[in-house]
Amino acid sequence: MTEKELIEACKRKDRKGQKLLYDRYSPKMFGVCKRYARSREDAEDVLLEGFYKVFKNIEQFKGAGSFEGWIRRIMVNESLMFLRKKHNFQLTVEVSNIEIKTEVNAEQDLIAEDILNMLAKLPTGYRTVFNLYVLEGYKHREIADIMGISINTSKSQLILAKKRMQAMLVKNQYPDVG
Amino acid sequence: MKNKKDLFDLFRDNEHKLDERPDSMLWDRLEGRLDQSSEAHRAPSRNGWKQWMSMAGVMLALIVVISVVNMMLKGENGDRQSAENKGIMPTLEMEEIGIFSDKGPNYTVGEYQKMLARLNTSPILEGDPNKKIRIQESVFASLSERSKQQIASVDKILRAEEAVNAKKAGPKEIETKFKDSKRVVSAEANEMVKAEAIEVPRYANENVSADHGSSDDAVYADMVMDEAATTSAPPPAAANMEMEESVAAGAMDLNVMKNKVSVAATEAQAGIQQFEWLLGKWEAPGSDQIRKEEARSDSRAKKKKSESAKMTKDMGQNMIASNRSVEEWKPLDEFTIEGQGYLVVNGDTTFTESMQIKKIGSDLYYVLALDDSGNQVKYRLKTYTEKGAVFENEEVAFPNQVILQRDFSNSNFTTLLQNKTPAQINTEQQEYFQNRNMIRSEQVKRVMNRVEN
Repeated sequence: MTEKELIEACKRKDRKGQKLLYDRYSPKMFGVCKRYARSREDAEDVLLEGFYKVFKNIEQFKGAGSFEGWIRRIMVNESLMFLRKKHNFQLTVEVSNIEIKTEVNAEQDLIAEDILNMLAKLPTGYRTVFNLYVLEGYKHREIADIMGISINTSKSQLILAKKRMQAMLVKNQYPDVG
Repeated sequence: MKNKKDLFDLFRDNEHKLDERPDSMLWDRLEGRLDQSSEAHRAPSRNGWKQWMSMAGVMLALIVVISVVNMMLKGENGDRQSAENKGIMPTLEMEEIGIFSDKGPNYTVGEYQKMLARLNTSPILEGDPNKKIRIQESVFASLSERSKQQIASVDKILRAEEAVNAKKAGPKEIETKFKDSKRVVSAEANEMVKAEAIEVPRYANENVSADHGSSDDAVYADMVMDEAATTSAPPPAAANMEMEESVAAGAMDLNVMKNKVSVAATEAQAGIQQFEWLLGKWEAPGSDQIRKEEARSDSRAKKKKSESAKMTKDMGQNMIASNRSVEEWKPLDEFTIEGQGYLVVNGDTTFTESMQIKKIGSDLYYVLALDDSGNQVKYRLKTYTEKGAVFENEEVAFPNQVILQRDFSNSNFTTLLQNKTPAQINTEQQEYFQNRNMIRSEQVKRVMNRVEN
């Protein structure tokens, strides 16, 4: 079934179509949710809520952009709502340490477990800004709007996230990382 | 700049490694949710129809109950009027209490009062406590079979008590026996209420006792047969067992009648004894979990310094914590059982809460705090079944329902806090409830496993 047929089936509330769509996109979207939520259980809850909204609002998808991108935005929004409710973003600021330079070896490869572990160990504010900036591609101005923080705070959270990750990379036996 | 790009690219390049098929159960949950929502969308008219039908049913039941009560009142008034005309009838009020009999020994008003109080039934309010009273035989003959049985039961109780007194049994022993039998009785009586069709014996109405306030001794003149008859009938050869049975039988009759009136007039009834299954120690599945300490640090740490000293220390950091949520329910008094809930993180108690189920008047309430303020909110019992109970307070924005669900083996139970019509939980409450509960956007839930009876 093509993506268009799948969407049409979902608009008709066809349960088989919905299942197919879920099967196709849920692995990737689960990955997205896991990056924001810290536990697997929370990620599952967010994923469920996200797909529920996808199916409830699929009429609103007019086919203008990427369907996967549309679903992904819903998942990101859902994750942010979850974090806002649960953590109110709890921004952690360590202003005095912002000016630290870090280096990383671009050849270095990461395994999934390491990525998740490192993200999970970041405070919620760092993690959220990092996800939005690095993996969703939002600008600091947009992140500031989304999270209700200043642009400078968004920038500092990203720097601090990077610093914290750098330390973790070293600690987690990535010897090439300086 | 190059460094920054490298680190970020490292994550971008490896992001796909997080892709993973979620648990297959998740689709089932999603499907259930979709079904639920399409049901709600699909059939507003059907729901409307159901509502109308249920309302009509309730109205019909009320009409039937009122008619039956009226018929009984008219019938008994008529009989009594004609009996009174013949000069052989005592007062209406006395029969309404339905306790007096000339079939057994005479007792004093005071003794009856004591007895009725023990049976949790409307007491006699008037008359000299030392006056001996009994009902006329013709009145006894005109009573229904149930009333006669009830009277006989109470007679047995009084005789048995007298027998026990004669044997100089300690008052404490008697008290215990009555207390025990009363406990059995209430549960059984409630079971009967559930099982039997509703009928409303007039003499079971609690308001009757209020009417007595206006009576004076003259009202009893016809019934006071023998001031001097102090020789009681010999104690029956009833063993203690029989005594307890008769106590139970008598009390059951009285309670059943009282309860029937309540059930007809209000909604679900249950005694505090019906929550005895809750007594004991319960724990949430204990497992090592990643605690999100920074999420609930600041405000709570300021408010509860002693409880959250450790949290404060770890503020802003992540830690792996061994945590368990515990709930212990104990009887507080005759009308109340109390639950203490607490969260233990790495051996420290970081959160405590107190819940109660208590009987106030004829209703049962679940009492709990909904936030850090410590203010407690009462939820009235709406329905009770073997599977659990629903308490409601529609004046609360969230949750307006507290639901207790128990499993068949009584090895675990679930507490759900939610709204009848799903509603979002506010942030403050989420922070409070997340200590010991799983939180969905519209529901707070915890499942506790029994560890001690």
